[in-house]
Amino acid sequence: MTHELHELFDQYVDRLISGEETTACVVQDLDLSEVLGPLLETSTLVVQQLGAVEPSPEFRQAARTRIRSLFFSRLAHKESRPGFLFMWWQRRWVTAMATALVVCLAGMGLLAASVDSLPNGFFYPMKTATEQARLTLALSDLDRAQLQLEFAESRLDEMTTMAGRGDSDTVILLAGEVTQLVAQMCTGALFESLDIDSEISEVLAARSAAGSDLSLEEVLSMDRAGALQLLQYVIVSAPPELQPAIERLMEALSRDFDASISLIESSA
Amino acid sequence: MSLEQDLVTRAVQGDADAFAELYESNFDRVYRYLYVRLGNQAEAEDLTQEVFAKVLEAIGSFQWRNAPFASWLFRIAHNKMIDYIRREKRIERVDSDETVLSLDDPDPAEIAEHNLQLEKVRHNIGRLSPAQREVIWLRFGAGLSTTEVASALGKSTGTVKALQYNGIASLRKLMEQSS
Repeated sequence: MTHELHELFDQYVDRLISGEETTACVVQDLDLSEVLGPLLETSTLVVQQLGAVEPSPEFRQAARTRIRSLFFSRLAHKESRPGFLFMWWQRRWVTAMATALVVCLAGMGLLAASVDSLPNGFFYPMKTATEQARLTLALSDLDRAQLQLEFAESRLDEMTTMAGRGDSDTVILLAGEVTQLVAQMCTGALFESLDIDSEISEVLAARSAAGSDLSLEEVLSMDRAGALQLLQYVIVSAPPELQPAIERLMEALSRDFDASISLIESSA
Repeated sequence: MSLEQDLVTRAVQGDADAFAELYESNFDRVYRYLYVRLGNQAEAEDLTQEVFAKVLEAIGSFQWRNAPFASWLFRIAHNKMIDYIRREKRIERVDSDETVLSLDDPDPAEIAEHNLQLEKVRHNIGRLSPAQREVIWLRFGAGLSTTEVASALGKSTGTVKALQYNGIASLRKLMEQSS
């Protein structure tokens, strides 16, 4: 019933917003009229008051002139870029080189991963160096974002393993790296239009300001909340190919942080 | 492909007419949203221009993924406003400095009456919970549909409808108390 009430009210609000006369929005059902009538009265007032706000004609004109000049200056800038054929040739050459490098590095990375993939392991620096190289050589923003998510998931796996061994220092380090990777992905060109730089800075600043007075659980909770918050911001605008990986990481964040906290606590 | 989808697709491809149409059809409601949030005409004007400059800069990377264009636009407007508030280290104003109303008859007494009413509404919306407030601003201030609000806020339409209902119910109580 509550759901139906919300639904019905929403339909009336739609009608009010589209400019229908208040009198036309009379609730047919008398029982509902008692409940919805007063709310529609308030809604009408809000629509009328807020709807009456308009920009001044002078501002409208000045803003139009400004956006028009911005539009054409961007267009002029675009047309002054190097020719398409040159760009195509350049891209083809770079792609070939990058592919060769990625194949070599991925092989090394796989070796490192298969031999010893834990932070205190001998091959671990090689693994992280390979990851950095793969990020640098990523061919598109989407590829880079996918790699960042993949590496963040990998850090989570390592974090849980290290928590099982009772190594709380490394666990904190790895949790911070997860946040860093998520933040890097969110600052990428894919999500430029979201304009969430301040949210990202806030998450990173909170992490770097975290002092030694915080417990392991508090630090991990902060990392988890920060990473989840950023992923929630970007998931709606993420390309469809990226969304499953984001969802997977969000699930892993909730699961692995809890697991790590309880593992550390039980080993203490 | 819907009319809006076609328009956005053309604007993304750099069609000046399509961009102009999107601009004209959204300009007033972006201004209104920012004005009712900030309560200051000069700030709302500056930010409206910043929002559209950002839209122009970013529209090339806009991708249609079942999310309406308005959701994307108002996310930019919301983020610009939050950035501004943080940058200026100020809270959203409850009382506005002056008001620009679209009244046919510019009778000073009528304008004053409208200003008083608008301030009362703004003030009481400002006392709602953050989630209810955001839904009311976007739905009633910007005139977005429930689907657009849901997409802009990353919530389900059911949640938005519930927030809208409860928000208006709370607002009614607050308005009664303050009168």
